[in-house]
Amino acid sequence: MNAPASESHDQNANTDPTAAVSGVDPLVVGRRSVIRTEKLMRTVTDADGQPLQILQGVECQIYAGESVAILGSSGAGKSTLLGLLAGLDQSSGGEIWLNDQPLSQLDEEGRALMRQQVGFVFQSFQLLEHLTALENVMLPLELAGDPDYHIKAKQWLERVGLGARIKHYPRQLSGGEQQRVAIARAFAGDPLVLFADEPTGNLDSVTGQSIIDLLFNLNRDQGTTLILVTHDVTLAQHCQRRLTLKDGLLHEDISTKAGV
Amino acid sequence: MPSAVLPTSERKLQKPKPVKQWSMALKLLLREWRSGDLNLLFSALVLAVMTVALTGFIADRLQRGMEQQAAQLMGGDLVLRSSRAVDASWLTEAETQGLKAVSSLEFTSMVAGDEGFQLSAVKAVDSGYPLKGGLELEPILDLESSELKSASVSTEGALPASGEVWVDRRLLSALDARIGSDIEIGRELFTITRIISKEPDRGGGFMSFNPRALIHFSDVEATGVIQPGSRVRYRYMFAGDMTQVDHFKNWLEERLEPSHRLLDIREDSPSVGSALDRAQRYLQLASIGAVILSGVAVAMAASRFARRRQDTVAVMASLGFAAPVMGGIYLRLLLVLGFVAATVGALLGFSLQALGIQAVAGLVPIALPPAGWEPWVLAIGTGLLLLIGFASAPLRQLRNVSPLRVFRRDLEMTTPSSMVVYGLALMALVVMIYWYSSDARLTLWLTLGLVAVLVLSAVLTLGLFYLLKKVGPVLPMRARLAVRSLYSHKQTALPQVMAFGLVLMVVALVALIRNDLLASWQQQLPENAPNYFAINIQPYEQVEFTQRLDNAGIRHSPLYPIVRGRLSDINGLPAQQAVPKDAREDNALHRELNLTWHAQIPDDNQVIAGRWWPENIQLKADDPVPLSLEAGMAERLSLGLGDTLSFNFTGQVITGEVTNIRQVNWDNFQPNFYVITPPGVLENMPQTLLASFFLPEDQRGLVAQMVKAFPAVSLLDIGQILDQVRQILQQVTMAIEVMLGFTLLSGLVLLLAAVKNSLDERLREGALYRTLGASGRMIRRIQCIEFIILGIVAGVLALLGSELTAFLLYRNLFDLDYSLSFTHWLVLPLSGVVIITAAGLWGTRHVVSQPPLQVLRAG
Repeated sequence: MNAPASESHDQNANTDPTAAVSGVDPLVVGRRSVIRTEKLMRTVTDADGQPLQILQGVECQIYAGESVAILGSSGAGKSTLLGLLAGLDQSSGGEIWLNDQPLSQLDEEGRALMRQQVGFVFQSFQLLEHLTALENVMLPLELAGDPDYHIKAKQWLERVGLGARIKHYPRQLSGGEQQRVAIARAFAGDPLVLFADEPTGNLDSVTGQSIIDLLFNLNRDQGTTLILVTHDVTLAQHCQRRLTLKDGLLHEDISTKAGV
Repeated sequence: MPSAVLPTSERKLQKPKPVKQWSMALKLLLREWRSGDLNLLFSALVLAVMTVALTGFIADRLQRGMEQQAAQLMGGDLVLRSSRAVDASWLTEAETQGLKAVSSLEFTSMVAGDEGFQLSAVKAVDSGYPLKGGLELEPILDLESSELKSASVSTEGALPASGEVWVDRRLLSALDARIGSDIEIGRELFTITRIISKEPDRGGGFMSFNPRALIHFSDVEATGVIQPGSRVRYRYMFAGDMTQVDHFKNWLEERLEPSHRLLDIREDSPSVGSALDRAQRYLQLASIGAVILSGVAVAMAASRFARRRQDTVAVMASLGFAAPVMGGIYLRLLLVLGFVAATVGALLGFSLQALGIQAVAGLVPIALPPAGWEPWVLAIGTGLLLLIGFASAPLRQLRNVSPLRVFRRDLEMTTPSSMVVYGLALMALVVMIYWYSSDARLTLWLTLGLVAVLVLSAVLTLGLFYLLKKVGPVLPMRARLAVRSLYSHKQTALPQVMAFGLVLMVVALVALIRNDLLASWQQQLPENAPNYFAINIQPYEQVEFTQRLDNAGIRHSPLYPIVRGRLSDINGLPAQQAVPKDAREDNALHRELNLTWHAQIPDDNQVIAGRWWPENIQLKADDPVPLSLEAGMAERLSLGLGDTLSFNFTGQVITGEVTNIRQVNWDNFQPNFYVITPPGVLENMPQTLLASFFLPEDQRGLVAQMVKAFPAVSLLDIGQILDQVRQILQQVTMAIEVMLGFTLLSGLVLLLAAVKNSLDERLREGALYRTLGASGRMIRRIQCIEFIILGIVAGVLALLGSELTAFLLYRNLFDLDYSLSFTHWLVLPLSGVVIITAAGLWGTRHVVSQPPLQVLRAG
């Protein structure tokens, strides 16, 4: 088994699932967990056809309104973990509860419905280039069948400071502006959890800082749970908890282990 | 001795060595090959070349096969017909030019046997006859019986010796003679030694109405039949390879006199000629269609490949290989790939053709001659042309990739100017179409048609997309998203919908023309097309003749009255003087023409100028006689509406005025007439009747009975000619089926290329949609709506395009009647939707199966 991590890990797993990696913190017991995983495994086949275990039994519990940074070296499996937590990918074993709903019991249709409760912000913005800023923000609202998609999308763009640029196409916007559109799009669906994959990775430090501020302000105002994957230490410092993915397992940073 | 490492300050910038672009290209090719990104480009090229090679080989072999057969019907590759003997030096010249030459002489003469006389078509042939095919003779053993035997032997260059005559069974019956009997032709006595069962170059024409007697050329003089002014026909037949024949033809053409007529394969037997022509046009057109489809597929695959290689080039550029160098390397890579693909395609085409022809060898009775080298050049040349025309422009753009792209992914390479892209493609197309068809008119029409269809469909499609966008907001969610996706992707959706439309259009067109061609041939030569003509039926024999046929259950045509008359005057002048100089030797002025009367215009005839007379026309004594003239004769003699013609019927003269000109279908083996009058003009002239009927194989015995019962009636067996024509049509039909299949295949490849072309974008968008809360099923539904819209638009475009092109082609190239078909209007848009939706959904099936984050990260 996984020698360095197994100790606390196994114990927790055998006793109380709610007291996973996050530690049995008296302060957080009783708070609603938004995401919980148990023995989460993910195996892929590498180029030579050999099975490669990326996640080897990840256990974690994330509570409503928390901001969590997931750290880890390149290739540690951060994105894989993110995809699984968001219901975008299927695990090879173990279970994920998103808002108390076990994902393994859902079909793609059900998972898609669950995904309407999460938002995404990417390093490379991932806007649809042939759609205007407004149309980009409208998209999740429309997919969720919201009849007020037009008004809401406009309001969100105003909120991120792009009210004057709603008809612009992504290529007509700067990197920072594009990321604002992406953030507006992510928050427009009023998500329970917002996943951000290196949201400042493609931006200079000043712009990056403004994006960080925006993200955390909205997170606070909306009461959204924020889960960040990042290398950026400053960004990680903003988060209440820091988890490190190493050798297929998740380790909580000692300094944040006590929780908020 | 190893040199010491220099301190950094002393290191100089080395002069860059020129990059070995060719060897880099080869190395890169192997790597790219493994990546799989070249698969589509390679398949599109291979398929294009394979199609062209296959058509090329089949068309070449069929062409040779058909020419061989047509040459057999005619007696040589080139035939010179003359009413006088030509200078002997012409034959010597032919032989010097490497051709085989042989002469024959035909005349009509009374042949006398012990039991009677018979007007016969005597043919005198020289050694070497026949140049093409072989005479078939009945076995001598069967001679005692009067039964017709199907068993026969083919001669190898054997001919009647001096003093011998070979006759056909009709003459034998008419004279009640047998092998060994003596018969008289003119002053000379001949002994019947063989019975001819098949004569390869019997052909049509008036001479063939009479039974055949074949003698040696050297015996003609002794018969004394040939006198100055005698009606004789010399035929000089030449054979050799096509270039020699063409060369000699040119030589002859400079020396021709008005009394000469030069025939090549196409002119001599119109029924075969037009079938050949149309088939050839079809093959050309279908392969042009297949190549256009493949060309577009190549273009789409190449532009996808170029887009996917921007990063590679940017990285290499940032490492010191300038983008132009990398672009050059990729162009070389493309060239090598093209050469490999062209060779593979040509080899595949050749093998498929060989296998295919072997597989149907049992069905096609004639062994096809092997193909020449030309298809190889054509196929490989096509591959390279396709590359230059369709793939080089997108790949050249790789030279413009900015190394900055390494940092900024959004820096796209400049898209090539559409003038360059379309200009190059158009040029390649024009070159290819002209190369395949050697027909400037066809090239012009096809190119113009194609450009018009493309521009028109671009405008229509964009307009439609715009309209859809306008109504978008009121649509339900999935349709709204689909419409927005289409409109916002118009740059990729437009070529896609046009490619889809093109596929449907070409396939529909190729299928449409195939059906109509086959139907027209079927109609021209149905299973029970009349295989016998009966001429010289006397009016008093009419009832009995009909009865005999009816009693035997033989289907026959009505009996057409024939009145023979000579065209004596035109507009009051002797006919000879009234016509232009070069028409003075025309047959129509030198023999009696067959005239008939009709109240209605005969089937298969079409008035092209003037008007047909009213059905109940009653001519009074002083009324001018209206005449209906056959178009070809009118043209040859420069006759038009309003000209007055006088005909001499053994003393009686009737003058009439041309009131209409008729197009006659000479392909259908039905009795046709040059000049027709209304009823009430010719009825009192001496006349005979003509009928055609179909005699099944097992009732051949009837011929002998009929010949005995109606000794004056001539029965002409055209079954042989029909069979030859049928064989040719069979081969052509096979070629057409094969071509249709290949056009379909090219269409499929283009469909997939077009779908793949938007695949990268769709993969990314699908992934993104899923992160935004869409389920796989919802994405599939949105895509489905998109493809349905694309399918409808493409179907409608294809419908308009194919109807327009069919309309132009039918009239101008295939001589077919064009008519709108309603099934077409229903089937095309419908099949467009089904095919494109199916292909689209299949081609994009990975969009919902790949893990979204993996796709988004890679992008």
